[in-house]
Amino acid sequence: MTKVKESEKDTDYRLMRAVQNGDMVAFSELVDRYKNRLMNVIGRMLSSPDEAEDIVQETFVRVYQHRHSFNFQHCFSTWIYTIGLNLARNELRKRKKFKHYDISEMQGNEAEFAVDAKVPTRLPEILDAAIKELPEKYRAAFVLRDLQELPYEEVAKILDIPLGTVKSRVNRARMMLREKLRPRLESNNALSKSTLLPVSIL
Amino acid sequence: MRCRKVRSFLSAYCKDELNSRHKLAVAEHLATCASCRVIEADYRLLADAGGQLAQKAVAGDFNAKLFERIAQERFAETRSKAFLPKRAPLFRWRVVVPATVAVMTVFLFVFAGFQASVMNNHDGRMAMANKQLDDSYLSVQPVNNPNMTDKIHKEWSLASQLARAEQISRRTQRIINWLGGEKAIYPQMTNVSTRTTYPVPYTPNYYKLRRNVLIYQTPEPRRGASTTY
Repeated sequence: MTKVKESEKDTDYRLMRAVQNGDMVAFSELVDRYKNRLMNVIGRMLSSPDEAEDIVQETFVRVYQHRHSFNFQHCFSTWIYTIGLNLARNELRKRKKFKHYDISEMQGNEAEFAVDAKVPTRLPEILDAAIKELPEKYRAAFVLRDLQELPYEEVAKILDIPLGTVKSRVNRARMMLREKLRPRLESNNALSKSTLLPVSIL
Repeated sequence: MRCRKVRSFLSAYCKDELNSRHKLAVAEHLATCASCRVIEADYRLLADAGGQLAQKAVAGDFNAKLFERIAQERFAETRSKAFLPKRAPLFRWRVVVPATVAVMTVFLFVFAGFQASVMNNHDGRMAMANKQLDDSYLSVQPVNNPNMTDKIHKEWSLASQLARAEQISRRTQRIINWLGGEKAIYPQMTNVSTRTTYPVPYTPNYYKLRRNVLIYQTPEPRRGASTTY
């Protein structure tokens, strides 16, 4: 596991050196390696997938613009996640200043909209919705640790907070999620005990 | 371990993040506590559900859009390099740094030399300060000073001053007589007896020399003139 991680880090460094020398193929490879990982994190920080994609694009543009200021003593993944999350946080801060209205809501077709709205029924979908309701600081720590499975140390570096704070935030986020999903979890527990079905089917 | 403590560890226990000591304590507790086992099952379900969350992916044309934007950035970068003149640096470090170092070095040497000279002359200066004051300069007059030249000696002697005064006085009197006498020139002064009636010609030389004469020799009163001093 460690060996694989180490080789990933080395690959990142090799690609980044090539990018610094003006190799656009290497940059394309870096984009392919990180675009979905970033989308997974930023897409869960922001509600709209289009906005999340814009932020991911902006992240790569920033990486390209500041390619010469990358410090090879740090992980590339830490650097790119930090840039992406900072941009996402800026976006969330902007939203607090300006209220956004969806143009489709202003049409007056509430009934049609309600029919089209998809109510999540499966547990992973409910969990996805519950994650979006978490406070921002818990959400970021939870997504990076539990969904991206980054080590606590790297999460601490990305969020620029102490290691103990990361652990407590992740634990707190898990407890909040359990509280939110308690009725569904209890019914699932009862169902799985009686039928022994795997969670994915539930 | 109590339930409250165990429940704070349960989410980490399900993710296998606890150390061996805590893991063992939680496992022992779970073997005996049904309510904590329920919570453990909840966390395990959550962990499984987290693993099955749909992975978000960017749109298919993401790379195309991104590289279009990057191309714009590169184009802007190139244009700015090609068309905008490079701003002159405020400080030319290659000049400023050596110059500063040179100035500092010179200053250091000068200051160090000055300090050294002060330190070396310290004893001498103290000796001078302790020496008795020499007031010989007060008694040395130009006349008595053998180092002075003959010319200076002659000019500053009392005899030469008196001779000069006499000469000027004679010449002045001759001029006054030629002009018609003292009364014609100084009518007010000759009429007022309470004030000095001594003729005072308006020549700078007269004042200078007369003063010397007054100091050393009282002039004799002339005939026909009142002598009030």
